[in-house]
Amino acid sequence: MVRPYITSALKVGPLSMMIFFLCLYGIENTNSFRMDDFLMFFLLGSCMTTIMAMVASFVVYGVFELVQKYYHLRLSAPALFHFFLPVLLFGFGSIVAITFLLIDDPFSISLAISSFLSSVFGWCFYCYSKAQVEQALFPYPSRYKKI
Amino acid sequence: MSTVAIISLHSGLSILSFGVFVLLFVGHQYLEVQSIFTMLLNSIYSVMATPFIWLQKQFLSRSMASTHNSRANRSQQLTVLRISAVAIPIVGAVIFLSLYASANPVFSQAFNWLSFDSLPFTLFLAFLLAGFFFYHPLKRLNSWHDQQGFQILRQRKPLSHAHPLSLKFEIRTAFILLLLLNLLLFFFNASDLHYLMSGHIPVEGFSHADFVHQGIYTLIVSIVLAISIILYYFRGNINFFQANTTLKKLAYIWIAQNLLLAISSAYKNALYIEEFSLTYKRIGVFVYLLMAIIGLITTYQKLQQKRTLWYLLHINSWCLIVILLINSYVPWDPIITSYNLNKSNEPDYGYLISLSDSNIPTLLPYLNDGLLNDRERSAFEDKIKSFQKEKKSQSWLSWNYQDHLTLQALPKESK
Repeated sequence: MVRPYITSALKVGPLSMMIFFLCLYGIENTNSFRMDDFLMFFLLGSCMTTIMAMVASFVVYGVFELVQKYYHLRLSAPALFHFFLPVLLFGFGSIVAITFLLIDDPFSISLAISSFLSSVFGWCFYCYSKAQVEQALFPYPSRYKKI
Repeated sequence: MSTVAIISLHSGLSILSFGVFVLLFVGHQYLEVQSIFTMLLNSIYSVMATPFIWLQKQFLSRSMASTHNSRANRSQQLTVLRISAVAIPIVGAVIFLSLYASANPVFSQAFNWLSFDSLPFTLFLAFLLAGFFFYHPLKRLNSWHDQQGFQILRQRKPLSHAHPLSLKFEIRTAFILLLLLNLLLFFFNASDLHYLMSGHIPVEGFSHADFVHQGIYTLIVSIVLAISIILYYFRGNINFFQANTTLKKLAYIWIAQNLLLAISSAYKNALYIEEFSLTYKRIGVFVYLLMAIIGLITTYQKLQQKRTLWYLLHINSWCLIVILLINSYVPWDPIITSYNLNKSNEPDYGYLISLSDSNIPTLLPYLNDGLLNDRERSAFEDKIKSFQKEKKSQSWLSWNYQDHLTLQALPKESK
């Protein structure tokens, strides 16, 4: 089932770029980009973060899937979401906390916050897509299926 | 108690302490546990997870309803339509309002009263409150917590996978390891004490600062190792083995040597402060040493009374909270400022100015003494101005005793 990995990465890529810019804007309290630059950075950044999110989702969520298969947990998508949510929150949360304590750079802090939020949002999207695939929830089935 | 500290001192530590106590209070309301560790982890998890759980629930319940129950699906669709009928026009109006406001200054002036400055803070507060009112505990941690006790119980049934003599060999391994570690620490402590007594640094190119820093790093590693090794070897039936007397004595000696290391490090830190000056990092070293000493004493107690790892976590987390509460009542910034100004020959004015506003009354007499250079002087004046500006923008809800004292100390014309 590769579909949930790809759909969650496609959603998380632009979202993480948006969160990053919002964090940077919130911390510095100034708009450091001109509009043209902003659009270019946003488009290029979104492409890059989508690729990064795809690799990260295969690595992180793939590991979670492997763990649950190794221990024969046989969890449904909502149960899987709740099972690994503490691991994600405390794992990425501790990285954000360490960044806040040790580094006083708005760029690094924004990066840490956006990676934390993107990972958790990505997990939400991934579990949602997985649930859809599990239940075969496609409101508009393709013509090929009908034929 | 932490609220009293906020009203009287309004320091960063008192705010941190208040935050921790709010989390503990919420945890205590929902969970029937006495453990700080469990309550704090549950509350932090609830605050972080609740918005995401809501999001997931909304999407999942909608997708499930659409497959199984068409009536529920219709009702949810209606709710979404109702909300979007109001939300979409408001969002559109706000976007156009901001566009028109940036294009026309007269139009912008008419909407000056509309400010989004407090929106991030309000959203952050809503994020926190969601976790408080719709509590989502860590179920696996709580079920693990329910199984824990304070006393180690003897396992009488032989373990099928272990060799019958494994415990005897484990004791032998632990004995050799603790003996070697004791000898090493003894030589380390001896060289350290020799340096402290004579004041002579045997290695060239080393300063007091190097000795203190290296002592602290060694202490951190040594204490964590000491506690984890003791916890590992005294985790089960070794506590009830008749031939464990020598091993226990070695463990006690090692704890005592670690205590000596902590005390010598505290003394070195005091020497360092006397030679240079008092800073937050150096106070942090004292707090860490205090916590290390408490950790070693509780480890001794664990060994003597055959207590579990859970007991150590429980008692040490209570000690940590008490230390945090006590610290929140100490006005560290004025203490650091007055100590450095009175004891240090060349106080670091830049560092003192960078501390919180509570040290303005202590620093104020030095403003016109000519001791500050131009940069420090302008930085201090900026600090006073930003404090006054902040105070003017605040209402009576932000009143606290420390800021009141600072305002009183400022000259009347500058108020």
